[in-house]
Amino acid sequence: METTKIDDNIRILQYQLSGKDITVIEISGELDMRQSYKCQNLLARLIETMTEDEELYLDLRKVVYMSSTGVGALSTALVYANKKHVAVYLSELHPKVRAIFDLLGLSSWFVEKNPDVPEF
Amino acid sequence: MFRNFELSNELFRIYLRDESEKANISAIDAITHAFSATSGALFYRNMDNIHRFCLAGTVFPISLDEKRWRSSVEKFTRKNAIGKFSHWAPPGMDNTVDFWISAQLYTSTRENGYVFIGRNEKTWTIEEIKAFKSITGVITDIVTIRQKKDLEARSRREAEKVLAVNQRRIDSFFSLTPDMIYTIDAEGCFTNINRAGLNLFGLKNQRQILGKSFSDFALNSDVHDFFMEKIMQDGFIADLEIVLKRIDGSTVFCLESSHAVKNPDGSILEIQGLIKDISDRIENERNLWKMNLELSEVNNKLHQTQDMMVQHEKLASIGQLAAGVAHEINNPLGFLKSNQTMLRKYFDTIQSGWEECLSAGSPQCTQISEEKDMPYVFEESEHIFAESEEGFARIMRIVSNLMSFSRMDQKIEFEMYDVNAGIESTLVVAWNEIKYVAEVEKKFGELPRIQAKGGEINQVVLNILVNAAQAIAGQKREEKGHITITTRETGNSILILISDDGPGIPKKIRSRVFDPFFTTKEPGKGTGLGLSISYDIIATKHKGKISVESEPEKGTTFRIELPVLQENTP
Repeated sequence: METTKIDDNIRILQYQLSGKDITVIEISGELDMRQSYKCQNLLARLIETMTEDEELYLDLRKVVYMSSTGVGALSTALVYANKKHVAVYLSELHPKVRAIFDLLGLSSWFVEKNPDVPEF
Repeated sequence: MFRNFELSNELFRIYLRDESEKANISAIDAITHAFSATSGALFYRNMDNIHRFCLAGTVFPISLDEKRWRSSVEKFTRKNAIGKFSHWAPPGMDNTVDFWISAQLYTSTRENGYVFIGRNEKTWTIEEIKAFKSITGVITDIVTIRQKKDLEARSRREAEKVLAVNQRRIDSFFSLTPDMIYTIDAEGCFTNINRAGLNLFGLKNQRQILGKSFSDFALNSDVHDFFMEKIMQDGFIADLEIVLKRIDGSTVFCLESSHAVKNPDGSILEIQGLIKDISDRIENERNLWKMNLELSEVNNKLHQTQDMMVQHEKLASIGQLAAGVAHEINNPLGFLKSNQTMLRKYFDTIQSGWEECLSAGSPQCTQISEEKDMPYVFEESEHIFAESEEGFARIMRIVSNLMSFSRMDQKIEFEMYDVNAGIESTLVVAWNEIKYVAEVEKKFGELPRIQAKGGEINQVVLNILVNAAQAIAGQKREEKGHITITTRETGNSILILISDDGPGIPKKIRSRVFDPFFTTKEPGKGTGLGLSISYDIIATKHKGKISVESEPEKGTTFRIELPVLQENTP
């Protein structure tokens, strides 16, 4: 498993499982306006390098606050991913984060699924 | 000296009693009187820097322009010295007075003024001049104190004016700003809120909210808890998005910036905050995001449809090719079969003729029969004819099925259709996909012909059979799988059950298998349209029912129910 630390709140894990390339982006803390733009740029760059068979998981379990800009950043990432035919999943969301997706009426566009992790 | 002491007391009393400029007139009156002078004048600049002059025995101070004021005083007085002169009249007076003395009321920082007293009859004595000098010192002190007092009062009034302006500014900002401004105490209860805040919540007056908890008005109390934690920790919060509840239950997206006012011990005294309604902005952004997602989905579907069209085109071409080949084969096959039948007849004639020769006892025939092993030839020929007939029958069945299946490419209307025969012909088409992965068991019941578009029903059966075969193949099992096709009549309809012992369909996606574009196959292997089209054919076009039952690792059964007769169809 390859781990890349972007900053104190963003970490990228990349591994292979059953022949599939899996990328997990762990986001923690506050996904406020500044952090959301950073995330959006990171996701755009990352998806650009991905191919059709890959799976991308956004792990938001440690996010304590999410602004609408955060939801916007993830929606934009989903659009990029659709273009590249990359499957994007949101890890099981904290109810307060899910509430924002629900309020904005964007929940149905995302599939909630926790990534399978390799056994060590 | 006695006179001076009394005069000093009198001057203190005058200035204590009267804080206005008129006190100067009383003062010059008192000095004139104390020195038994005929005239007395006091020149000064007031707090507004206006040059003034008071004449003993008059009522109001008089304003002079600076030039005249200076020309009146400066030629008679020197700094720190008593001026002494004669025959002079104060400005505005006609009669001159003979003997004058004057003194400057000079403090270290400012030119304060001048005192003049004059009389006729006799000049001023040295004692009187000394007393006058001493009394001007007293006046200087009094004036200095008064000036300080005036300055302070003036500064206070100016500060109060500035404060009042600021207060009006703050009040108008508080009450007229379109954003909500509020304060809450350390317990999170409202202590003040402006009109915009009341409007935001849909309230009429402050009584409806003061004392109530902020969290009662937040949609998600978790976000408010996060807000309180952060403000305790950092002392402020900037641009936090919160969703507030209006009194009518509707929600408002807001942006909040607040800071804590703390007690000296660090505990929170109150929180002051500003909240902006950003619902319109959020609505616009939400629409934009949704539109982008929808566009992206439509774009993907367009690509999938394009793939499907290409696939469909390929299948149609193969179908046409198969039908064409079948038709081409059918003609030579006809005469081959006919020739074979005739050949069989002629051979039978030859065989019976040969047997007659043998039974007639022809030695030549007996010899030939032994040499050529004619009984073996006739026996083998029987087998060859039988095998050929079976071969012809198989070829004819395949050709007939291919032609029957290819009816789906023709525009056909409802016809009386033999379901069992249709399934047979479909099996022939699907056989190549099935034969290496599964055995097929047919449990066909007696069925009436039904009113249906045969080609379309064949396509549904084909889709289900191919899916079953591919699902079984995907398991990579050692032994072959099993597909059972059952048909039976059930009153006014017929039932087709197609079961396999493949991997089954996970419960989570079972409800979606008939959805357009839903596929579990790898990209490029399926369009996700097969079962969606099947559903349309059975449920919409034929008013039948199609459903699926499945158990993971046990298998899947598709159940198709079709009415024998279609309503409203001639």
